[in-house]
Amino acid sequence: MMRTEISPCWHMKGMVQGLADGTLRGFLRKYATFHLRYCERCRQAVAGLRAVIARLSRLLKPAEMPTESWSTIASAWDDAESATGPPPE
Amino acid sequence: MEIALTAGWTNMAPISVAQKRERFESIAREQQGVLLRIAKHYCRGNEALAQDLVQDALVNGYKSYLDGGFKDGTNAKAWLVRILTNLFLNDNRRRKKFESGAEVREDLAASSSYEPDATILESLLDGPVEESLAKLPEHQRMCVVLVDIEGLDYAEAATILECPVGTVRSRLARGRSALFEDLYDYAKARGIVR
Repeated sequence: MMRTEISPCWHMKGMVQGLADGTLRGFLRKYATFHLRYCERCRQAVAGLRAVIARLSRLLKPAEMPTESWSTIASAWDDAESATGPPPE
Repeated sequence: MEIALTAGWTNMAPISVAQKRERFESIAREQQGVLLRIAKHYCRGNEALAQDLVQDALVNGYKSYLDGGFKDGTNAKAWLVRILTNLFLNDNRRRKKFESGAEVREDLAASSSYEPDATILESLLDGPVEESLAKLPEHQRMCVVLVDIEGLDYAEAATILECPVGTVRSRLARGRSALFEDLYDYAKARGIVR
């Protein structure tokens, strides 16, 4: 049964996150992977987290500042340059 | 106009303000998409505020660039995102406007158990996902945006947010869990899962 909350075993709480996003390495990864073989609850936690991470990554879409913003930015950059001024002789 | 060498340029020939402008503009145009996307999530989808935030970040960034606050060849993305993040965190006006309704969803864990498939999240449109993201407390949302959407590693996010890596990890864990639960609630309420 798929759980509707992420609730791994207490000793796996930190590790399921790392397993889900691929940051868990070395012995801890081996330990966690081994545990998952026998623990449905933690498997579901990892599956749920992976689903969230995969879905979030799809929010990465091109974004573009409007053209008119660039002229405002350019004026502010001009002001910044004026404020900097040449170095004292 | 020639300017004095600054910390970021100690091993390089002096360059003019015009050259600095050109270099910074190139960085700004390259990073504006990332900045705008992050700003939108910080501002809970408010496009106008997000654009203001990016504009301010690029202006502050240029001032810092002129002062030698950035070394060419280092991580421009992380540097500009950090400026943007600091601006957002320091701007009470922006924060207060969007802080209401950002309470942690304490009731999420109380949902009953059923048997949705984890792949059900894939079928959700962006709208509900962005709404769920907007409900997260600010610091959790920032971590999720930087790591899970923008693909920064924990250390980069920690540098930008000026907190330990462990804090990023724990905020991320809470944020992801809350999103999972909220999105399943959403899917259940709309009959996407039973």
